Amino acid sequence: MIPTTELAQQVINGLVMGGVYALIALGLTLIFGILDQVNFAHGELYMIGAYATFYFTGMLGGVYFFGMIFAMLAVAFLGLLYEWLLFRPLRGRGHLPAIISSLGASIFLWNLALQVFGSIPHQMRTDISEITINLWGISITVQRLLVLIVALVLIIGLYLIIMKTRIGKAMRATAQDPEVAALLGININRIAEMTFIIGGALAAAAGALIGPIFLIYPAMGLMACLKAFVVVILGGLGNVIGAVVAGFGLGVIESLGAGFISSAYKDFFAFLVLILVLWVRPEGILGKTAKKAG
Amino acid sequence: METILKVEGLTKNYGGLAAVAELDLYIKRGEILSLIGPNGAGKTTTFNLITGLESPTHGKIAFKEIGIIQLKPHEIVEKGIVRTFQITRVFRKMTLLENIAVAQHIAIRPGLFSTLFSTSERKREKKGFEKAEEMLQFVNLISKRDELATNLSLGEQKRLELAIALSMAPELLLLDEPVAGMNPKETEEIINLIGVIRGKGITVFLIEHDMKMVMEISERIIVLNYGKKIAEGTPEDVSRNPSVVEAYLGRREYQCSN
Amino acid sequence: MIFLKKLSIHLLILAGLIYLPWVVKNPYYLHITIMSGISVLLASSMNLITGCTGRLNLGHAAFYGIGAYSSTLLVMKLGLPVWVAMFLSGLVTTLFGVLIGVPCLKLKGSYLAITTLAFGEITRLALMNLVDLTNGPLGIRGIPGHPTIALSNSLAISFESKTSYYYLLLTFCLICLLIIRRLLRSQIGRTFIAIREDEIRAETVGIDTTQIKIMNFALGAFFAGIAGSFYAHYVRFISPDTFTLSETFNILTMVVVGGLGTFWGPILGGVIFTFLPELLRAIAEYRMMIYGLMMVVAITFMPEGIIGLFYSLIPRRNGKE
Repeated sequence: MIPTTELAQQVINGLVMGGVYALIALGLTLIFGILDQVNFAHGELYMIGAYATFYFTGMLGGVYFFGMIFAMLAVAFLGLLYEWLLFRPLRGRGHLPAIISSLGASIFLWNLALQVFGSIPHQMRTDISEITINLWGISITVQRLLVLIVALVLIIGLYLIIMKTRIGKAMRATAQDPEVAALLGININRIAEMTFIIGGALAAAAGALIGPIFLIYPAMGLMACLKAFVVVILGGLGNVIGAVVAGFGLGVIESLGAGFISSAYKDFFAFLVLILVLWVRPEGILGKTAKKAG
Repeated sequence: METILKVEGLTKNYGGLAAVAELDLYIKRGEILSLIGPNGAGKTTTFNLITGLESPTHGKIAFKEIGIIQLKPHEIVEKGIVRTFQITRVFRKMTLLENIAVAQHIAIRPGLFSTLFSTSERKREKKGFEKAEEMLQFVNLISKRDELATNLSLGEQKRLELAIALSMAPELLLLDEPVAGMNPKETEEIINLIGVIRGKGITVFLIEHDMKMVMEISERIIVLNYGKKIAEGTPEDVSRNPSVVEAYLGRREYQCSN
Repeated sequence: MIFLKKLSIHLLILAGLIYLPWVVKNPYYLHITIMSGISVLLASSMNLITGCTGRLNLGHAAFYGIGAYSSTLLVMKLGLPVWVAMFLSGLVTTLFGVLIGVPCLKLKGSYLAITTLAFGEITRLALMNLVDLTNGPLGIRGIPGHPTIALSNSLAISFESKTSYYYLLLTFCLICLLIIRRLLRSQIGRTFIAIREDEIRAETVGIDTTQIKIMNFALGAFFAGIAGSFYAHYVRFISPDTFTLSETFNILTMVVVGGLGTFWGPILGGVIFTFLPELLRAIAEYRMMIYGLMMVVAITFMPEGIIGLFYSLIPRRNGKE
């Protein structure tokens, strides 16, 4: 029999990764749901968030928290650049151009990172990253706990923004029907900017949180982006709750799979789940909003 | 006259909402039947169900005595039912000529090896283009044969749709709001074209909001409201039917034609 | 008149290509030219799927790899003659194209992109890990090249020199491109574009989109596969490192910058992006960055690629042949 503490340990670890996946996937699903465009360069926001946290933390006297905040601000601005330079010019031209353009941007950015930061991975050390605490027999580092807490805080914050604020309402209206939203006086360009700012900040937070746990390297955005896509597809393109559920779900599945089946092929559980699900239900597990797939 | 299309108990549910509910209708060969009703009454859904773009929750559709519910859209086209779309869907990056030529797919029956190796395939393609030219002549768009479809005005796009539909040699033609958004002159042209089409023996099933046009050209009218048939008969019968008047006026969506 | 003009331009290009080895004697440059021919085939094959039919296939390098490996294994493990193996490997890759194409039928846009990417990565990992079959990351060396064709007792065509390989590739490419061109101009080619423009509408004009989509994947796979086979017997060494996602991006750049959905676009793209790395030797580390940038600029400002730009300068009826 599988010892329950080991099971719980794997689940907790999975939830930690899941929180990271959810944060990245949220930005992606918002961009699709509201703007009907796909951002293949989303992983680079995550990657730059990690590097930015690393450097800002160093510059700000080692205070990790400030490093993370500044990184989120910086990457939010980068998201804004995405909107201005990549996505706004292509709005209304269907799905394929945005995919190709963001692919090109992704290639550009991670190779740029390779040039600027070098190919040797960076290690972010914070004062708290080494401390482990023990809850009910499960050991978890403070950093991992932080990931869970910050992820939940950000997710709840996002929920509040979307449901309670005026701009959140405008975003939901645009997601439902952009033409009607425009007729109601909603400025789609402002909404787009907001969406990318939020998406960038969330992805940066994910990068900041993961930095102290794993190594930081230029190509880290690629795999993260792929997994985020799997999460978004599983949860339904444009489905915010779906992204959160699927994000945590994928984290747990990966963790259990790596723990009990094989850790070498860990990354492939995501792909396997994707292919299986799409075979059975081409719209994803939780379906989609009224938008067409892709 | 034989009954060419018979629909029985056609129902389409979305979640809890019935877009089409227990619809019965029939069309006789050669006649022109109009389907009217307020917005959202289920008219386009009915067309989608007949042409295989959606599958019904239950019900039967028979074309020339053969059930067609299981068939895929391209198979239904093969059987002889062709439709146009309410919001025009032409292939924008292809020329007018190519738009119609591609619709000759069933006539040409291309195969991979025959495309590469046989000359009779090329002949059939050439015939396809000739047919396309013929159709463009018919709808008076021949002067724009080499232009990209995306450059056409709305009225011209609707005529192109009509040309594409006709080129597929339909027995039953489903027209979804063929004159929506057109001025009186354009509407008149379309009405004339429909007249010529009927002269060729093609049965026409029409959705329209333009009441003047509907009353003028229909032999029979069916009225839908909330997915249900609420009236059926000649234009005179229907225009005097109180539930029809109420359905339109009650909803305040009655469109006056220009 | 236009026909004669076109014909004479084509003949001129053909003459130039035939005459090329007299002018270009350096075997290294000939090698680059040969590689550009392979790139042209790869770009054209990807164009069939992604350009004409609008279905982004991010696993295309897998077809390239399967063609290369299957041809190699057919020759080295089953002892088949190289010419036979080349053709068979095309069929093997086609089979894979169908196997991957069928589950992808209902997918579009980014769903399709991610799934094909997944298939591509899975294929690469299979090539890496099935060591008994493929020798894993070390790759396979000493692949037999194309054998001499004996025409008569004293006359034979051998493929030892770069020049003779060049002519082999040229013939090969010309045949494939003629086939592709015929396809693009035919009814089938039009159905590809129809599916790209509006798949539902295509169904309602009588096109069996399922059949055509599978055929489309199969064709793209076939040409990529024989390109892979040619590569294997020319370079005589293959490893999974060649058939990566990066390679797919390379090919995609060729197609997008050259001209998505056109006939000449991928050809231009294939040639440019094989010679460009040579010219950019000095700034080789920035190569991928430049490619990425070019893709963004191309799709935003020149959606029909360089070829589209070229065509818009010449008065013609539309952007296609």
